[in-house]
Amino acid sequence: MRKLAPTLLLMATLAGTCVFAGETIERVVAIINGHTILLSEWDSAVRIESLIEGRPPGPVTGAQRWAALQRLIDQELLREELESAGLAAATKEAVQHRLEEIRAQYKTGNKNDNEDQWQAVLDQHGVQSAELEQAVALQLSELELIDYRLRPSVAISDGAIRGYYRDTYEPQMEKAGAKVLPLTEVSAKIREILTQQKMNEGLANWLLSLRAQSDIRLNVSESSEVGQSQ
Amino acid sequence: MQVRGAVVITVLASLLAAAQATAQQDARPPAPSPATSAPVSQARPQITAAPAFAGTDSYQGWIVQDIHVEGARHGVEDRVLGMVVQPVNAPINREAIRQSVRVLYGTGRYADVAVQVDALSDRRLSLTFVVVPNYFVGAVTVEGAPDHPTEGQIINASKLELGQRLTVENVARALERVRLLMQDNGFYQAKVAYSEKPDPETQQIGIHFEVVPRAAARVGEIKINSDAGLSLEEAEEAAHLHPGDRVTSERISGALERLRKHFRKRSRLTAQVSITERKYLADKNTVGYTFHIDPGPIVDIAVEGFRIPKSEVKQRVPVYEENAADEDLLNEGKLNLRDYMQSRGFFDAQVRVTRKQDLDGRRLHVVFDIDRGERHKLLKVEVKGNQYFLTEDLISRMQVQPAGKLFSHGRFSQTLLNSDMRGLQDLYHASGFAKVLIQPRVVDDFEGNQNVVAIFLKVEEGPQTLVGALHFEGSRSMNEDALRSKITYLEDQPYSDYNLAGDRDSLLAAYLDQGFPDARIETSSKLIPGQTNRMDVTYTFREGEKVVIDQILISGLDHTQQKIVEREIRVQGGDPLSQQRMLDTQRNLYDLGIFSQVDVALQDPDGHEQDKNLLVAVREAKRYTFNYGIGFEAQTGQPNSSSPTPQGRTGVSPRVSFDVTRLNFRGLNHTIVFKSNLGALQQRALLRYEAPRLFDNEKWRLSLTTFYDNTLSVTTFTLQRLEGAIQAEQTLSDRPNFHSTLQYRYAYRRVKATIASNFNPDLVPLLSRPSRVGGPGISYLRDKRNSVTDTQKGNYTTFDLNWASRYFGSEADFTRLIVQNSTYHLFGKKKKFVLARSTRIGAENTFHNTLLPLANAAIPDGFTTIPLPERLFAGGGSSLRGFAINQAGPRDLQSGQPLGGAGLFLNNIELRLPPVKWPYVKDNLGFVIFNDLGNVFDTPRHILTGLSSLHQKNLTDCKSLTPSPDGKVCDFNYLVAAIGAGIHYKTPIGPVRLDFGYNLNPPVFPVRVTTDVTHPAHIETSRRFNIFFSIGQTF
Repeated sequence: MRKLAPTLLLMATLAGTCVFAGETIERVVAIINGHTILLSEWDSAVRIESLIEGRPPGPVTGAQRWAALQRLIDQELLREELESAGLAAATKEAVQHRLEEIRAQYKTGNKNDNEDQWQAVLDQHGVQSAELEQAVALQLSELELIDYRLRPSVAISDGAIRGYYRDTYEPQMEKAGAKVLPLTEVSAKIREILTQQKMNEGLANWLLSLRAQSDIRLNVSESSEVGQSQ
Repeated sequence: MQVRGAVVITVLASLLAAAQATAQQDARPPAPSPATSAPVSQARPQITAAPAFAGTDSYQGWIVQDIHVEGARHGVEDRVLGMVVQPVNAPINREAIRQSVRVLYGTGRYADVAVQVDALSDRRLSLTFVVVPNYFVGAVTVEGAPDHPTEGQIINASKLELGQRLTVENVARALERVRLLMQDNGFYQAKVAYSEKPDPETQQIGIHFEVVPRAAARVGEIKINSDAGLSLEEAEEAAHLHPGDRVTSERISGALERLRKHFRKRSRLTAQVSITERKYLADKNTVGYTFHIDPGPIVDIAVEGFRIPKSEVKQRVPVYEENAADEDLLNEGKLNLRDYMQSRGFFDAQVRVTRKQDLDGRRLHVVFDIDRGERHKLLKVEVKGNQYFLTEDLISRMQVQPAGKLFSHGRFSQTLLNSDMRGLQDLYHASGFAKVLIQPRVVDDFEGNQNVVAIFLKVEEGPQTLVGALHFEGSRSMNEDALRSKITYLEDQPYSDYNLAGDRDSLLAAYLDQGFPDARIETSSKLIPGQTNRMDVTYTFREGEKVVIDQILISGLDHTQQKIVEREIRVQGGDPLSQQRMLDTQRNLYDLGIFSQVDVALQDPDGHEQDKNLLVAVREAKRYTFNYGIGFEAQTGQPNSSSPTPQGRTGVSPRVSFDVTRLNFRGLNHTIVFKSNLGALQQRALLRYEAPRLFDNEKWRLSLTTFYDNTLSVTTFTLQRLEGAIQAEQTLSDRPNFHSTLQYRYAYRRVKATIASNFNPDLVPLLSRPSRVGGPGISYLRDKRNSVTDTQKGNYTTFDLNWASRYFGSEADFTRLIVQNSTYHLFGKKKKFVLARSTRIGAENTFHNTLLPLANAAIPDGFTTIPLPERLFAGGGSSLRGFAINQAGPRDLQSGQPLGGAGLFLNNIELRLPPVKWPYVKDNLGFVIFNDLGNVFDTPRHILTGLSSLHQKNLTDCKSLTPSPDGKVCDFNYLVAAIGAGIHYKTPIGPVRLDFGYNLNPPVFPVRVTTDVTHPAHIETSRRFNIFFSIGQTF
């Protein structure tokens, strides 16, 4: 094996010079159970996230990019689950509704808020309309899956609702100087909040479990990403 | 949903982010290592973040002027370029680039694929696809393995599969598994290092584990729970496990089993024993064990109502074996006991089981209460209404049996009958009778006979459905004729789903063998309109992509020459991937006997590339094998020099053996063997060189042999033989049940016989003189038996001719021809009887100055005779069973010793009866009746005259202590007949035989000269009764 050290050195050097030399426009960055995530898909995800969250176009940090990649991985794991669950895809109406919600963030209230203005927003973020629509459709389908999978296992007791009302709702309302509504009026909303919290915990555990069962390989490292920003 | 969705969408991003925090730790790649020391499995290229508006978007509208490939193995650049879908001289297209990267990555050959762009003038650009090759597991080797675990166990534990893509993860898992294996065997301080040997040309990577076992751990403190029911000392004794013992996996698992056995012996059948903690102390290198023992109650199992042997109860009540007494096991025991009763004629037997625990929980009473009912006898099983199958064929498939020799009351239970009905229905279904109805009727007190049972089966076969037209759809690679040749059930054959599934499997196997690993075949059938019993069958094929072999990569050869492996490989580059040929290759390589492990696999079996490299990885076996042994040997019919007796005595001697085998000599699969036996009765040494492929032709084999033998094999003399031989063997046919070979040889030997002191003085100088015998020989062997060890039909013929001549350095000039022909026939109603016959004829002829000595006749001066060890002998368990070994034929009339002859005729006839089922031995025991006829004759000419006579001639001289005055010499040239019977027990290496032979007309001979004063001159008759114990069929 000692004789092989030069071989390894040569290979590593070759890999470095070949890959790092020019401008890389495409690349396999991650492989999830055999499915590839490409550099261009990663870039698109970063831009789409920025657009959906209403952030202005511009530089993103390495940490943000890394987090976006991790979300892409989770989305891919959920997409695989979606295939086996056999749920219907998100309807056109639901996708359109969600797109309208996103678009609403960028409306200025002027009468010039037309298609051209929306296209300009898309161009500024470097997002194509079709890929945004596709991303939203996938997101909605995965949300449906999460709901389908996790909601039935969540049970919120009346005691938990009363506890949330007493320990969280009332102090927050009083601190904000707002009127504290009676429990009977807000119990449904509290139940939904607590359900979401439980589902969040369930989702985190589910994703951990999916990751543990999956073959996830990365061709990029966190250290190289987080250390940079644009 | 909309309100809920909005909430969830908001939380999804944060949730996914939160979930990542933990998940990232699992998926995170290892920290980059310095390039000089990073193994290939970790040498993943790193990447910098791309700018937010980079990628193909920033080159929209630019024209791709040219496309290059970097990093691919030399010679495959064009193949890589062929997978790029982005056209040249066209605008850059993001989707085309993406697809190209996916296709390239999907081949499995590359760990990373990147696309680089170089901007040229006039909005033109150059694209470069940079690929980083994957590496695939090649030969896995181990250095420094202790006796346990062995090198092979370590390799198996690593679970690094040949051809599998090597990743950081599977290397880490492999290392962990090897460490655990070492710990299981007590090597807690073992150091396991790992290194790689990559080959960029083939993308294979050799994996080498270097193991330093260090000191094995010892058993440290042993603890048991306080309510274990025995003290710590008692537990250690019962487990045979003490502090200070070496830790091995066998010792620990053995300790657990011994503890369980300890409790079982004390009727604590439900005792639970486990190890709850293993504590390794590194400073002391000891492992402490904490045992948890739950002795459970004393379990009393009683059977009431009928006396069943305890051993039978233990066998049928699973509580004894399973360490539990739950409802399921008790019910199983109940049913087993009911079956036991029913098999003994108590067909109405009822078994109840009760389970009761004492209040203090210390004792559990299990009682099987049997109501045996009346004892019945199953008189007969009658089948009516069957037309398609013969009644005996149906009954032979049933487990229910009428009373007979084996089951005096027959064999019947409702469970067995139900099972039989299902079996018979399946049989009919498979033959196209989908609507068959079989109704059993059990009649008790049959024909007024109390407790006599008869079973009547009424069969309504219904219409037989046949295959109508066959259709094959979607098959592109095989034409209809080829497809039809693969299936059994064609038009007008019985139709059934079962048959259809079998044919579909055959077709699928054919496709797999043609390189279509993803082939799918569906079958459908529909009734032909207007016909009630014909189904049209359609096979629909989805072939998938064809996979062909690219290169064949061989690894693991340290000493073996590559051509030795290459010539056993049954595929070559360009051939379709064939599972069968891969298996044939593996079997051929194992058959060479020089490899301890042979793996044949595809490189990256999960990759989507259609050209796959075939990997052949071998592990060479140890080339030297030493065997040695010490024992005793015993043999009847030995000469006794102090008191020579014509029919010999029993000799016993210690014996030492030493063998050395050198495999794979010069890496050519040639073998050198040295074997030796040393004892008072026999001293043998053999040195043989074997080349299994002479002229590089698998049908030719060469062997060179040197042989020394000093043995007391014949009562007449002690034989010394020093022989050298060269032999070439040509296989003429090697088909199943038809094997024929020709053997060409030259043998040269020096033989010497030491003759009994009272032998005829006229013959002693000639017979006891050392002689050289040499010359060529040829043998032909034709074997058409269905089985070598347990032949039932076929025939077997051998022809052996040797020519000893002065031209080849021989001192005696003679030829010897031995021809043997055996035939085997199955007969009887169920073809279970075997009639076996074997005829053997041998003849020796002399020429030049060599003469054949007639009994008691002197050889003239200037002439010689055939040396005694070269003469023909007969008698023994595999020859003429009317005589002890080598006792047939002419004898020396002074000493009475067998003299051998120059003519041999032997005819054996055996009737091999069908095996009989017996308890314990099942159907392995069989009986044989035989008749042997024949003898050894003075000359070949005497065979013809001797065969016409069943009586010994010149008996006056035979019964006289002095030579007969009329000159008529005692004659042994007559046909000796023997009859007998034998018991054969079937074993994997052939039957173990015990044969009893009775000689109907044994020869009488005088012993006129004797040196034993206690046995003066007398007349002897060969023993009539002879017993033979041997392994293998007589012929």
